[in-house]
Amino acid sequence: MNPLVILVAKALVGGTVVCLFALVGEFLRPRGLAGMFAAAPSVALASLAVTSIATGSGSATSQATAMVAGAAALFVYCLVGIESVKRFGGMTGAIAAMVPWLAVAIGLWAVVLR
Amino acid sequence: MKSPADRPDQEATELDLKKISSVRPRDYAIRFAFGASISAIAGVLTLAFGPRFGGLFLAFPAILPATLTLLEKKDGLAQAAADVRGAVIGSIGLIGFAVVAMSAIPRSPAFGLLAALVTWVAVSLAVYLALRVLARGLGERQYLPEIPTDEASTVIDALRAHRFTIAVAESCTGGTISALLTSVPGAGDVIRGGIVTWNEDTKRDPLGVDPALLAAHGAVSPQVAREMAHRVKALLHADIGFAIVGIEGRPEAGKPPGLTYLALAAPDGRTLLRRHNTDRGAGRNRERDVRSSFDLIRRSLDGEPAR
Repeated sequence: MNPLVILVAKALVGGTVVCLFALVGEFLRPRGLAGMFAAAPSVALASLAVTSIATGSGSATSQATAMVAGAAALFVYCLVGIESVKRFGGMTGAIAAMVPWLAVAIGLWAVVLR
Repeated sequence: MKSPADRPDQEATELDLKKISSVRPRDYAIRFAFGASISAIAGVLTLAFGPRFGGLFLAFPAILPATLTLLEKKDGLAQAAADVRGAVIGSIGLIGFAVVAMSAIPRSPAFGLLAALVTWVAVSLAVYLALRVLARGLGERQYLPEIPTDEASTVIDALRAHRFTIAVAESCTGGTISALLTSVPGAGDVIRGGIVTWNEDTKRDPLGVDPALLAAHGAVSPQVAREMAHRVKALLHADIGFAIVGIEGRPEAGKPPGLTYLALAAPDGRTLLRRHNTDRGAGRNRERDVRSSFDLIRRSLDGEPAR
């Protein structure tokens, strides 16, 4: 399948699944529970599904393996984010916490996955 | 009355379908754009550097900046911070998702993704419930209810429209009402001030409640609430005086938790009283009391001529 078509499919399905999870999170209370949906596997579900259909399970399995490291980095990101959002506000705090995400994700990739 | 609120995350779990009216298509267009972008970026990185690098970005925090910005704008910074606390739990579930997907996709991609999704829900909920039980066990009760500041701004707007000023005397809410009202930009136009009278001494002095009234009816009584509302109105030279007394946590002086009296001294000298007597836990009681206070102040202005 044409890689460009796969990319467009991932983008469309990814955007849609993100909205669906956000919608569920919007109605859930308390906010602490609803926030769970901010770390929902929306992009992962869409990408892995499209990859499995388009190129088979081999590439999807490799991506899922790497995602374990990405998810561990997301955990660190969220821990840092609690403080950085309070200190710098929503947008700046969330972007500032991406530095530790990149450090942990790239570090695990370099040590374990490469 | 010495009953700090529970952590807001310990509130009852519910689906608030009233929120459906607040769903804004523009917010979802932004989320769609972020979701589509990161999905495409992860795809490009997979093509360029292989699936073992591109896969990292399936857990890239691209959605959070958009979500937090929208949430902060709509409901305030406290809600945004609570959302990140929830995201910590979701990210633990996401590790489970990836592990199960990695193991199960080779057998059947459809089954593998379904199993991974179920794992994310199960792990996240288990961690959430475990932390909730742990927090209760540790007696963690120092957090205030997270009420969006835009709820307070409706009170300020109503007062401003009528050109009335208000003074507040709080007991069981410990200053939460004043804190929320004063968090609205420009609230100084209509707020004269507030006093937290946490015990009977401070209700007597500086507020000036008659000691005989306190002795006869107790601090948590409609008589004392009424007196406090009129006293704070006079003391701070406001058009409206508002007061609240109650028991949010443990029973006190034979009175049950959840019992609250709200009183409003109107500009013409009338008193409006409201009573609550259901116990929903300290945190939920306080949240109800603050929201009910806002509602009473707003309703008192309905039909009231502007000054």
